[in-house]
Amino acid sequence: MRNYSSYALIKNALTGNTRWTPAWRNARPRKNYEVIIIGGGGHGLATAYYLAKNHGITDVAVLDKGWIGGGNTGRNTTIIRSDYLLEENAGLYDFSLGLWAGLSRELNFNLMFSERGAVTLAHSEAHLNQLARLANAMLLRGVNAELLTREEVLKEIPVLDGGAGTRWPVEGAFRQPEAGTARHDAVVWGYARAADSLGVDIVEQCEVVGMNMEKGRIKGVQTSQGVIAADKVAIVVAGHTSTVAALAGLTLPVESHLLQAMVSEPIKPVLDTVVMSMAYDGYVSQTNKGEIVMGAELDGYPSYSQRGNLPRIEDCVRYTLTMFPSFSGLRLMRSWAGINDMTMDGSPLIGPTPVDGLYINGGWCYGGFKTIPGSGWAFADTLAHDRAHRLVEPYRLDRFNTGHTINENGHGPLPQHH
Amino acid sequence: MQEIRCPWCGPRVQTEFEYYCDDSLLTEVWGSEAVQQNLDRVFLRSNHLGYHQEIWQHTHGCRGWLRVLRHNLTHEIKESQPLGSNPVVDKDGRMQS
Ligand SMILES: Cc1cc2nc3c(=O)[nH]c(=O)nc-3n(C[C@H](O)[C@H](O)[C@H](O)COP(=O)(O)OP(=O)(O)OC[C@H]3O[C@@H](n4cnc5c(N)ncnc54)[C@H](O)[C@@H]3O)c2cc1C
Ligand SMILES: [Zn+2]
Repeated sequence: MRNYSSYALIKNALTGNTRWTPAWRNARPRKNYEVIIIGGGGHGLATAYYLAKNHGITDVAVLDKGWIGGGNTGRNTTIIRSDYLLEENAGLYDFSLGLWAGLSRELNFNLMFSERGAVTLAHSEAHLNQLARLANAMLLRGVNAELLTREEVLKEIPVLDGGAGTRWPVEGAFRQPEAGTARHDAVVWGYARAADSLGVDIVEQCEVVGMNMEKGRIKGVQTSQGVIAADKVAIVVAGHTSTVAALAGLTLPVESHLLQAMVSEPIKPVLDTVVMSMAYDGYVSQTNKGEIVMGAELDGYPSYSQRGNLPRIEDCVRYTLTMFPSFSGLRLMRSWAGINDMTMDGSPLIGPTPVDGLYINGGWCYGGFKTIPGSGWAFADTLAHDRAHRLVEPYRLDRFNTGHTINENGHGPLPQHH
Repeated sequence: MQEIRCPWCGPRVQTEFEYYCDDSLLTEVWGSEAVQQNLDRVFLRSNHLGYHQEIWQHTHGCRGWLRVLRHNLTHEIKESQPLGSNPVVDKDGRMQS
């Protein structure tokens, strides 16, 4: 791998930027591999990278039916935080947040990780109590968390409207100072390039359409580029988790739902933190390019269309303008949707399956960008040792049977409400 | 936006309705096998790509409950009937005879 550096920038500038080489090889699939990872999103690529780096397993292929990063990883609002309440979630999310800080250096790729903090607004006393409970839980496990008064919030986020005299004024807020955002494409490209340089094959335009199994053991996959044998296969396909798992005869606690996001035209910097709200289901931040990014609620019904509906865009814009009335003059540039793998308790599904050698890492709902480093790390360890790593053990597939669901917000098995 | 035909009120915009669950969730099972079957019913979804029998409510209308046959890729709605009607496809999307 050629190192990216200021020196390389200058040298290539002098040769008219004609000598850059592709960041990863365009691999043709071989006949067999030790490990096949289905899905070239953040989780699949991170898993491949840590398999090679931490475990010396380099006989690995990552297969994607489209282009890498074309799924949810390339469609998300990039909020990275670990303000989860439940102990089962705390381990992985905290560990993951810790990895982000050093990741650009490790991958030699600027992920533009920006530790700008994330603020959740409270609009009632009940909200304040709930956020205080969350902050206390985090402080108890040694993670930084702050509560802000109404005055402090309004001072720190001048562009925010306090809603004085309205039904849901801003009463205070919770903040995780170490939270932030990163450049989603860079995460995909950075992991792909680093994994490739360690010997991993990244195969795009290669759709898995069948599984080869023998006596309850995985033998390989059938793809649009032919049959590929493997000792171990991992399904890491987010919104398509159910359909790919069905190829191996598995039925999962997953329903696929749409989630939309959108960006405004770019403006000068006005918002230097991530803002979420307990009352309005919109989450807002400003990209380094200056666009205001807004994320919506789920569209509310199952769908594989990757195409959202206008009512949710209107809701999202309405929530955003309630918090930031001064954005009302901005034009919306783009909106898009991703297919979210919503589980019945809102937490991911990670680990071995009833088919020997077949593993799943999915069910990330709308919250899996932040965990890409931690999940890749722990899932690689799981694959290497044929047992769940401590950090992902709570997410085992049979937890619904044993009553060990991990339900952060206490909704029942109706995933459109998570 | 999807247009859903309420059996009582006629065609209305999707925002008047709320998706509740896949029809398979409503099929209660009794008997000695019931524990595992009910666990599966509550927590597992076939989530196949294709037609699904879904339960919707006309929340901002007559509040009636509907059994809707909808495709989860094209969003085509083939049928919407009162909840008391029989499902047209099973949980895996196979036509019911
Ligand atoms: C609008 C939106 C906003 C979000 N906001 C946030 C946020 O702010 N913070 C956060 O933490 N998370 C957020 N998320 C969630 C996050 O994006 C996902 O959880 C995460 O990116 C999932 O990564 P992945 O690698 O599992 O899946 P993906 O990135 O979707 O990758 C899966 C890949 O599998 C491939 N694939 C599918 N089927 C096959 C097949 N049969 N054969 C081969 N390949 C196949 C696809 O082409 C795809 O590239 C958001 C999601 C959306 C949609
Ligand atoms: Zn009606």
